[in-house]
Amino acid sequence: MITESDRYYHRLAFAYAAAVAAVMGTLLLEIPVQLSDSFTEFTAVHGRSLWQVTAAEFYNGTYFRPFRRALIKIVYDASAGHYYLAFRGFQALELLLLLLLVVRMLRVRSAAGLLSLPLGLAIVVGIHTFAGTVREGLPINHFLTILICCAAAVNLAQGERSPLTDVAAVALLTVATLTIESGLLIWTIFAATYFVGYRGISRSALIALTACIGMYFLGRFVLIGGGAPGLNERSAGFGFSVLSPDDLVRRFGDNPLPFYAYNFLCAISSVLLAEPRGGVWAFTRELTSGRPEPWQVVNVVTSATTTLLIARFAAVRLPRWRTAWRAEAGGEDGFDDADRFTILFLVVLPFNALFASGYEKDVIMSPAGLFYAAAAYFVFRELLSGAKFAIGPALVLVVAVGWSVRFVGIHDNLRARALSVQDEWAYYDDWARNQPNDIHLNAEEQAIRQHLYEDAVLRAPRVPQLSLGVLDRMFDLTQ
Amino acid sequence: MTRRILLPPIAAFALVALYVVAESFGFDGLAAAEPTTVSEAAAMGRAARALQLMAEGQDPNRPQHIASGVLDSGEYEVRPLEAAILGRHLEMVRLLQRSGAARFDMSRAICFARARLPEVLPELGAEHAASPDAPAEIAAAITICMQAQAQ
Repeated sequence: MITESDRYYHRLAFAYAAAVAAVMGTLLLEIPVQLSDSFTEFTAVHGRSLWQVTAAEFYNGTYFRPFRRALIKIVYDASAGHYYLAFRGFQALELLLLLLLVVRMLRVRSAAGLLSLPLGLAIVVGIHTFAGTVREGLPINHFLTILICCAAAVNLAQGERSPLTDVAAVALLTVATLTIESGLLIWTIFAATYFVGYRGISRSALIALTACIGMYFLGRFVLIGGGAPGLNERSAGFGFSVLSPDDLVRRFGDNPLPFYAYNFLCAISSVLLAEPRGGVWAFTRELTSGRPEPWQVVNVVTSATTTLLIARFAAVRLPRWRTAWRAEAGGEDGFDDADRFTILFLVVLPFNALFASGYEKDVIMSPAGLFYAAAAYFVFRELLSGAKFAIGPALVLVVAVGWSVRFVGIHDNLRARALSVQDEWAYYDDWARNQPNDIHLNAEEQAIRQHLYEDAVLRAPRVPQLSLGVLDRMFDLTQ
Repeated sequence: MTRRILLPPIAAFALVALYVVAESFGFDGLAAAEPTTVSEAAAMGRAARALQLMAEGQDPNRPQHIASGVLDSGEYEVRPLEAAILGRHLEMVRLLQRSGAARFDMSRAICFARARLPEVLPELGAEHAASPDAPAEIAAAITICMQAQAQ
């Protein structure tokens, strides 16, 4: 039963999320369409039909992401030549949609919920796994698209059960899996939400979703004959440094399993402790040499403390979860939202890490980062609601201050990104010379290049980098 | 006590939001110094800004002012290419050359390069010289090269 006061808190929560998205979106709109990973996408979709673009991606070797480029094609055609506005505007709208869906799934219906929301959203956008979804254009950031799908999946699962919801769930899974490999996580989310008691999706739909996953693997690896990326495709972090593809093949070519296991564990640790980053234990390295950067300390202390709070909460609730599990299986309410989101995070984390086992990168873990933030939000809400689980107020304050610094830091990071993308375009000739394949542009492609160049270099808004003196070192600009 | 967890994130959001709004009204109190000449942009390695200023009509082949705090505490009048050398921005030197900012007597630029950025010497048409252990101080390099040119 939702009361008028519930609706009041919920509306305020939506307003706050929209305000956060508006501020961040303003900074996003200052970033030109980037050169790397974006310009060539434009030339790839230009002059081809949507079907041609999509079909070509079905047979793209180790990557299977046909809808990723299809979405780029749709926005490209809709832009009518206003690339900068269309692609950056689309990313800002995606951000708004994500935050609204997150607030909706958090079901903010109490004063404690509302008071916890600013910190919860600060974690959503301030965590290092999120940075890559807004810093990078690509030109449509498929990791951000997957985050939206994750939040949408939970929203569907929380809704009223209906045939339409079931159809929407299958459609969502299909879109996500064909956008990028980590879209398969949507199935994990649907399955986990079902078992913790969100029953907006029927058991039959869950079976259909499972069949879709089977068809995905059958289609991708048997019918189409695709493979997984090899060790020789890119550099990767290992230990205290980054290994080149040749080094990786030399060390793990005969048996890559230890490398995959290393990445899996690093991905989990990265979400929980903000260390390592990209497989490199940089904070540990700097700590042993006695000179960690202030931002590294902020990141690691904040994440480790938040993880401690979530772990403490889970430990206190664990006995209750056993009985709640039986109640849910019997069709009764056993878990509350705080339990459910903590369990969802614990399920999503290892599944998400599987996708990072070939190549550990912060942004790959962005879905786990999203559920980490949601779990933390519920821990704070429970604390404010008076739940007793022996946590020192000072510890909570450390968490609140730390995440607030990281929240400001991501905005500073976006401003720095605007300037670096402008400079990236200024060096177009150097970039073109360093590409593995020669870049030969026809007249139309030259025109696109010139348009993007002028947007980035000659018509770009003047956006000064912030200078906060010693405080600048508190912000992680490496993301 | 626990209710105070609201304050830091709200303060952080208010700070960022206020700054974004204030900036749209022209406030630049927390902004790092923006280059106003091509030479300043070159000295700071700000490639896009250098090209913007050139497109706005600044002549990259003439000496331009560099404010105190850009290269070091001194104020200088040097050409953009020279400023890029003094700031040790190799890519910037190449970009300026491609952009037509190398149409002047190169003797002073070569002198700067010997003191600050020897790896760019071949691209300036001079013989490559071994890199010193550490680049010369900017003020010292300018003094030496100005004197050499005067003689």
